[in-house]
Amino acid sequence: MIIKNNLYKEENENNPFTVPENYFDKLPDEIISKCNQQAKKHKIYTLKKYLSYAAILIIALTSSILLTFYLSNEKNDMNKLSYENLMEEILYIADMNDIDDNFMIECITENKKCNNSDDSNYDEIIEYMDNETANTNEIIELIEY
Amino acid sequence: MDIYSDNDILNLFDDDKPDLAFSILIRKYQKPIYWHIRHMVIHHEDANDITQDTFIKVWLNIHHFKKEAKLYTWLYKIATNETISFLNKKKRLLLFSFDTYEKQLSENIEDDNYFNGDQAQLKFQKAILSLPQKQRTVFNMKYYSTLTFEEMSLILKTSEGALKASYHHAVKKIEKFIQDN
Repeated sequence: MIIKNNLYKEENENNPFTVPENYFDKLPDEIISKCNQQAKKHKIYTLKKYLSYAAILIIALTSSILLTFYLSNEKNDMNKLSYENLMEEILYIADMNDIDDNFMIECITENKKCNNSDDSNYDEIIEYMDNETANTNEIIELIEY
Repeated sequence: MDIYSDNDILNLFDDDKPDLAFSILIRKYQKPIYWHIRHMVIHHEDANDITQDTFIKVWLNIHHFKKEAKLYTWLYKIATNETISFLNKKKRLLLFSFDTYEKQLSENIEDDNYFNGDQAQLKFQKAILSLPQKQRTVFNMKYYSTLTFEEMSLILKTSEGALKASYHHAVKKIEKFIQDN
């Protein structure tokens, strides 16, 4: 191999350059020592890289969990709010039409009981709400709920 | 030391003896790699730094080396890239200067502690330094490292024809420089 033949090229008479004494005797140890330092640095760098990936992953996971939790709470709050608004509206309608509040709430929230009831007021209430309120669908949903 | 072929060295890396393999690899290739770099950067200190950086890169990337390639081609490629990066950095520092880095090297070459050439050799080095970088690389690889155009083609990723043309132009320019000076 050509390279092998040129291993001692610095002894070539064409080469006007020289090196410090014993330079090539010391060079391998210097390189190996630097390589070990670099390998340590490389390991630390790799570890730092993986740690930063892990940190990003943890932050992303925590954020998504918190976000999901927040959104689910917000939804519950909204449901709660719309439920409260609806109840207020029902009570207002009942009040305006001289219907017993408790009976009306009972009818809405305890649908089964009302369905089995023979009380003719129930049909009147439903009919009235059907004609007079804009939130009939919501009331029906509430009844089903 | 020369009894170890490149395959022997690579097998030692595979046999989980990387320290021994690397030590043998350095001892086998330190001189050709150092001289290849030295003829490009001229100063010993710079050549020493680049040689060390080259072998550190080899150590950090030996597991990426594909066995179908030749080890010494890969080493020369890393050394050449490191040297060219070094020279480009030096050139960038002199971007707004009237002098080129090669001109500065040429003017200071006789003051180098590790240059002991005569006047003819000094003129010859100055002639080489007057070449464009690519021609200088090709000329040094052919003249000092005595690599074949085929080997140089693998290292520099340039066609053999283009390398022969570069070398031919380099020789003509050196002859002219010596005649004119």
